[in-house]
Amino acid sequence: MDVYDTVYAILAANNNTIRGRTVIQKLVYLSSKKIPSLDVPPYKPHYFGPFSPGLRWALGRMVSFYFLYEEYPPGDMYSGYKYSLTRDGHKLAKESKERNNGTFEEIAKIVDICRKFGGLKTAPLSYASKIHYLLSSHETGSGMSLANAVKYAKELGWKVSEDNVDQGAELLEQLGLVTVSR
Amino acid sequence: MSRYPDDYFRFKSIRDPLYGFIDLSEAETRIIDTPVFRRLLGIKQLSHAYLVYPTAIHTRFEHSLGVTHLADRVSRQLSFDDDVREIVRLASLLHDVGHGPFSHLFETVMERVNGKKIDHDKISMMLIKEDPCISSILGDKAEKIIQILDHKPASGLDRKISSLATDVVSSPLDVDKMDYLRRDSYHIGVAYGQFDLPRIIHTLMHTDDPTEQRICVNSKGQDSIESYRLGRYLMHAQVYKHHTRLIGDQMFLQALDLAVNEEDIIPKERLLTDTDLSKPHKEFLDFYTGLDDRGLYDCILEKRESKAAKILRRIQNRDLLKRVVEYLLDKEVPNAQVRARMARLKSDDLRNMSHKIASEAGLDRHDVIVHSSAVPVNLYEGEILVMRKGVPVELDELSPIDVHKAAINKFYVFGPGEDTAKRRIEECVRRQLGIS
Repeated sequence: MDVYDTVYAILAANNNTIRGRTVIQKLVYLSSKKIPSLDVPPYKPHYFGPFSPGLRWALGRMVSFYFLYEEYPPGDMYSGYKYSLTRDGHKLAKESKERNNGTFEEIAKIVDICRKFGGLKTAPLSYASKIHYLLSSHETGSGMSLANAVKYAKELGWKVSEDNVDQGAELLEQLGLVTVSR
Repeated sequence: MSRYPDDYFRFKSIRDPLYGFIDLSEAETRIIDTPVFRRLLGIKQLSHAYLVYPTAIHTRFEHSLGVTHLADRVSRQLSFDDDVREIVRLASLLHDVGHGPFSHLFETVMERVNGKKIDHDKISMMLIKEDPCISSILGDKAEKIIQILDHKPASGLDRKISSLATDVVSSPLDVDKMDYLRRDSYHIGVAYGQFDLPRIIHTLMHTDDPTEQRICVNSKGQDSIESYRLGRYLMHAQVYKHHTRLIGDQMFLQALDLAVNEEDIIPKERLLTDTDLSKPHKEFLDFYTGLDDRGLYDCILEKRESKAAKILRRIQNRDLLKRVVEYLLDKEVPNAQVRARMARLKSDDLRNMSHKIASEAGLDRHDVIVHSSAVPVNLYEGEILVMRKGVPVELDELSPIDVHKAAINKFYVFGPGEDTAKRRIEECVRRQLGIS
């Protein structure tokens, strides 16, 4: 599945709406790590954690082509953009699901775990993505350990508290992206 | 106390129409006199934009000098020490040294030959590492420069400074864009790309993260960034994505494709390379650095009877294909599936579509070019951070200008100007796109 289908699957898994560009960025990041067959553009380290310019471009394209509706609802300060599927977007998401049902279900599970963990808020998703990014640049294979996640995050001085590191690592653990060595 | 003498970065001064004088260190002066760097004098910044704007013939050479000048101003604004300042200046000077003829256009042919993206940035890194003249001037600084260009932590540099140095050279707020928008505007004679550069530089700062510092502006710089965004949109709409420039570029790519892949004018195997910096690329670089705009044209035009040469002669005589079809994809293509397919089109798909339309319209396959163009409206594809009350916030979240789209997407079909051919092309396109 390409980046467009991945975004459809993420929105479909959350009642067709996601609040926050950063949230989409991190959900696609975590999904791509859990499902390596997803064909998504590369990520680079940015202030709010790993960020994919290609995904930002694709989101913009989906908005420009009227598949996604982007709005900035008034209310909470800095709570970010809200993305919803348009009527055409719904149609395309439905068709994509018919073609990629298994992957849509896997992504739905990932989104569900993230939602139950932190209500799809930016912070826990960012912590988890940052820690995973750090681990991937230090270790290869699937033997990433929670202890090392915390160690590397501290070594590199991410501006996160120990609780935040623990929180991010715990989400990774629930997603099955790190093994626990306590 | 700096170990650099006061005049270290002022070994030589070069006139520049935008900045008055650009000061260079001795090492930088030696670099710009190397054959590999001087080759940039033969690579136009804007490829075939001169078909629309006759003065758009400035080169990558002067742009590289301009970027170095701005890198210095930004380095001083961010209080880099002289060691970091030197690395940032050198990385900026050399960031485009890997460009091929007609700048980004050559990346298209490299991608087709190699089956994967080979961006000029990677070739710049290869040259910094392997070109004997450049690497001997840079010595042990070469590694750090490559790491900065490659978005990796530079060895021996504090990690937080390294990430900030990388942002100066390559980020949504980098010195490359700050130079080219104003320089292109100046040379073309338009005012669209002008923005308040001194204000932006004066308000640049960094985030306060203990390790990964990122470039940002303080809140006073926000409005200057808005004008930078508007300038960028207007330059894309009026210059970079002008349909005549696009036609010239696309016809050139047709000629190049023929010369490389069908008519054996340019040896395909000499363009094969990988991007693994741990391996040598001498043979490839020897060939690649022999190419510039004029040389490439001459090489193809020498084969007078070739199809590639015929296309180049048409460009030279400004006997260009015409804009036969132009659709705003979001407004004039009602079918969602068709739009979704258009959103995903890659260069091979566009080429196949061109051939199909040409065949259906009874035309030669080189008489039809399908092109998809996006004029970016939003900020760069990344975060531009504004420091608001000590908290970095994405500019988009603070901006009073509500941009409803990321880009204006246009679908073009270029073809012969004769009425019959135009009608046939229009019919084929409407059929393919499901437009009544």
